[in-house]
This record gives sequence, structure tokens and C-alpha cells, in this order.
Amino acid sequence: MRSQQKAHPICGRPISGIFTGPDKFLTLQSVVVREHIPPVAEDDSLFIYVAAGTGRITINGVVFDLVPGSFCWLQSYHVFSLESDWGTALELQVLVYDYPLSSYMTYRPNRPAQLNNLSTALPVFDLAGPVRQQVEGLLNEFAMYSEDHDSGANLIKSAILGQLSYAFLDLCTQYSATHTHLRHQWPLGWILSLFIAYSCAEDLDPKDVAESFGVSVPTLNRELRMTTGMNFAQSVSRARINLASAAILFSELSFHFIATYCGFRSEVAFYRTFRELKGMTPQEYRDYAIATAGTPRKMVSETVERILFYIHTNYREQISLKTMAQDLYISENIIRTLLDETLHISFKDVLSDCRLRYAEALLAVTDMPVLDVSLASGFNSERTFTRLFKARTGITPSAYRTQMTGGAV
Amino acid sequence: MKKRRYSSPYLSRDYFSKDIFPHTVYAGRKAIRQPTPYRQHDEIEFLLIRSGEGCMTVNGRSYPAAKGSLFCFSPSHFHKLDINKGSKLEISECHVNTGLYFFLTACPYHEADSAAMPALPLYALLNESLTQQVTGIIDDITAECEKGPASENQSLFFLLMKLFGILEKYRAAEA
Repeated sequence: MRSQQKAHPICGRPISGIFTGPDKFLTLQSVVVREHIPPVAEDDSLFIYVAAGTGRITINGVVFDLVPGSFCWLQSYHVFSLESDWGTALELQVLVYDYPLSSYMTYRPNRPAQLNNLSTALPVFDLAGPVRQQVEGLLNEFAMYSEDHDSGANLIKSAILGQLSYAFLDLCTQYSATHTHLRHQWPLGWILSLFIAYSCAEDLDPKDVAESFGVSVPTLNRELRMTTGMNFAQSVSRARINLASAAILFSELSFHFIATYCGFRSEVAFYRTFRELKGMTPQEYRDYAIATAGTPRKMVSETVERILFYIHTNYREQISLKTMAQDLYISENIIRTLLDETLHISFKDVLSDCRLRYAEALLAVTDMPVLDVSLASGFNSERTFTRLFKARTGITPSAYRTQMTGGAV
Repeated sequence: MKKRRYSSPYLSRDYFSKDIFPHTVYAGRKAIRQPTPYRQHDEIEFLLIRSGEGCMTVNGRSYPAAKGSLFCFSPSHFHKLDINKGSKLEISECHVNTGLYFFLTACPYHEADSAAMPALPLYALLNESLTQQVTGIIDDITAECEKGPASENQSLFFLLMKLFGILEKYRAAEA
């Protein structure tokens, strides 16, 4: 592994969509590189594990050697090209860890402190000993479920991706603790692309940025073009659109909000840039990514989760839409619309569902009178309870009890 | 201050309370020799039978409890465990706060079939290697719990997610 002051130039504009795509999420891709592959800039983060062969990877102008056991975590701001050594084939295992998933895994708003180390440490590590065994074990486990795309398998695979990312973050933490003095060795293009990725949501002016890095604007553009194939304006737009395409999956966010959140001056500018880079409008992208892509991703907002949790913990008390709105600091109308739009249910349905389930359990397990059961499960009267119970199961509560216990209680 | 009519867990808590994230997790191994009476608790419980034979009754329905049975109980599941004569049950169990269920099912790649918690307990009969894997996961959870508060421990969350995923993947079709 060597880092150098001078950047290793790439030729041409990078391409995307080689390793990521709607059909490649949560799938283990085996890739064999026999010669040089041109520069790639992907929109999601990638794990690359070298299973066999030797070669080189050039990331943002810095060359890293790849040997069996090398483990890379590449972000969207990394432009990379792969090359195998003469006469050998580089066998890679590639996993996509997309940003919507990773933001979910890190509990969305909380950014753990370790993530800061990610930007300052290396994107490639040569694994050895127990860490290598751990990573290989996780990859083998992932391979077992690679072709299954049901909910259970998807959860297992997401968990494995999370574990891989944490194994990598541990390596970064160890590296940062021991290599604090080496940071100045990175070429300017590397530092600039990192800077753009982390501050693209702000109002960036090339003059100010060039000044703060102590260079002129043409040098700024030349350095960036040499390492990533894109000039300053292109890099900033790309970083912003990447941020936006993750935010678009939250269906309750308005495009106006997303545009300002990602640093665009106006919504029109956001639409124009989005169409230029993605080839479709934000609305088309939202419909496509949420519903029709190969592996649809759906982001449920935290508010919906909190509403559901509130109902499920308090259903035995006399709650209503009004008390819930007061306790959660959300307006009644928003609760109603959110539940209807994201889950197609009403507040009353969820509430009576919970209450009836609890009542069914009480009927089957205890010998409490029906009136007590109805009060204990949150209903106001026995009549309401019996009516809802009959509408749902088709029999009366006492008949249900006889059926479940065989008349023993 | 306006007096509130109903008690609510949100009254005494922070406005941005993080109830849906893991905060109360405990796990461990147990050996059971006596049958247990009906129990209900406001937590999600994962229960794996490692050896022995018996019968698990949940809300009046019975499920075989043999080696490799993995259960998940939500708060509306009253459960009791009967043990076959002369047998000793070795179990691994893991309790987590209920809110985590909603966060787990909100995974972008998870398709929840309904908003409510499952009516019947999730039940899976695992084979030899999976039983060992799940035992390992619960042991890891036990080890992670001792490291510090669950709300800041991401590896703990990944383990819980894997446990839930295995249960979803291999759960028996509901009768």
C-alpha cells in the first residue's frame, strides 16, 4: 500500500452503474477482472473483497495494491479503476451497501463518532488473522441468502452489511489512532473530493473553496478533473444529487424541502440538475425507486413508527386520536393522513385490532367475565366489545372462549 | 399547567424520545425443570429451545417445543411452557423493548404485511446448524449487553436484526 503526494491521473469521465443498480442490491456479485477496467463512479457505497489474485485499485488519484484479503469500502465520492497484475485474474466479491439502508442502520439522525474516522482513514485495508476470518465468514453467510429476496432473507443480509461496515469502522479507528501524522500526504484532488462530499449541502463558491485550499480556481478544476474526471461544478452537482436521491425515498418529504436540504438555490435548479444526471424527473425517480425497481426500497418515517408504537403500548388505556396528538406533539390531521397514505389504515382500525387481540388472549387464557375482559383491554363497554368481536371473528366472546378452552374454564 | 386526564409514558419523557430504538435488551441461557404458568410481559421475547422436549401453549394454541424451536412473543401473547416427564429444557432467551419491533419492520427492504404486531406468535423449527447459529447470536447479544447501554451499541442492533431475520425467513406457515 503506498500513498503519494502526486495524483495518479485518470482519463475520461467516469461511468456509473457497473456495480450498482436496482437488481444488484442485497446480492453478492462475483466479479473477475482480467485487465484494466475504466474509471467508475457509483452512486452508492460498495464493499469489495479480494478473494484471489493481485492487482491495483486507483481511488481518486491514489494507487493501492490489492492482494487476497484486501477489503475496500468505497463511497460515492470515490472514483476508482481496477487493474489486475499481468497474467493474473483479480477475483472480487462486491456488495452494495446503499445509502438509504445505511442511514436506516445508523438510526438516521445519529451519526456515530466512528463515521468521522471513515473519512480520514484509508478506503482499503489488507486483512489478516481473526478480522479476515470474521469478514470471510460474513461474506459466506451472505452468499447463502444471496438469491433469496423475501423479507426475512433481506433482514439477515442487511444485518450482515451492518456487521461488515462495523468491522471496517473498527479498522478505521485503529488506523486513525496510529497514523495521525500521515494525513498531509494525500494529493489535493483526494482532499477536495472529500471536502465536496461532506459540505455539498452548503452554498459552495469555487473562488472561496480555492482560496481556502490556497490554490487558484483553474488549479482546483484541473486537480479535480485529473483525479475524478469531473470539474468542480460537476462534482458538486453529483454530490448533491446523490444526497437528494437518498432523501427522495422518504415519500413524505416535499421536493422543495429536498432541494434546499441538498444545497440547491431553487427547486427549478434541483429539477434541472436531477434530470441531467439521472435522466428522469424527481417524481419519476420516486415512483420508480419505491415501487417498480427490482428490489423496491421503502422508507417508513420515524413518525409513523412512533404513532404505531404509541398505540401498541397504550391501547389498554382510553386513548383517542386527540390524546395521542397531544402526547406526541403531532396534529390529528397529520396522524390521519400519514397512517392512510403509508399504511392504508385508519387510527380506529389499528386501535381496535390491538384491543381485540389482547381480549382474545384474555378470553382464551383466563376465566375473567366478559365485562372485565372488555374493560381490561381498553373498551368502554361490553356492548362495543361484543359488537366489534362479532364483526371480526363471527362469533360471540363467550362462544370463542368455549371454542378455545373446550368448555374447561 | 393543564392537568392531563390520562397517564402516558410520554408525559415524563423527552419530547424526542427514542422508544423505537433498542434501549432495554437482556439475554441469557437458562435451564428449566419445572413447568411455568401463563406469563405476559410488555416486551418482545425471543426464545430458543436448545435441548429437551415439551409443549409451549400460547393463547390456548399449543406448539411443540423441541430442539431448535424458536419463538417470538409480543405483548399480547400469554405463554406457558410444559415439560415432558423426566426431561430438562435448556433455553436461550432474549428480551427487547417492544418499540424495536416497529423499527425492525421499517427496514427499507422489509415488506411488512400489516401495521399491527403479529396475531399469532412467530414460530420456526430450525435445523441443527441454524440452532447453533442462533445460540451463538444470543450468546453474542449477552456479551454485547454487558459492554454498555443498548441504545449506543450498534453491533447489538445488527445481531437482533439477524435474529429477527432468521425467524422471519424460517417461520412455519401459519395454520
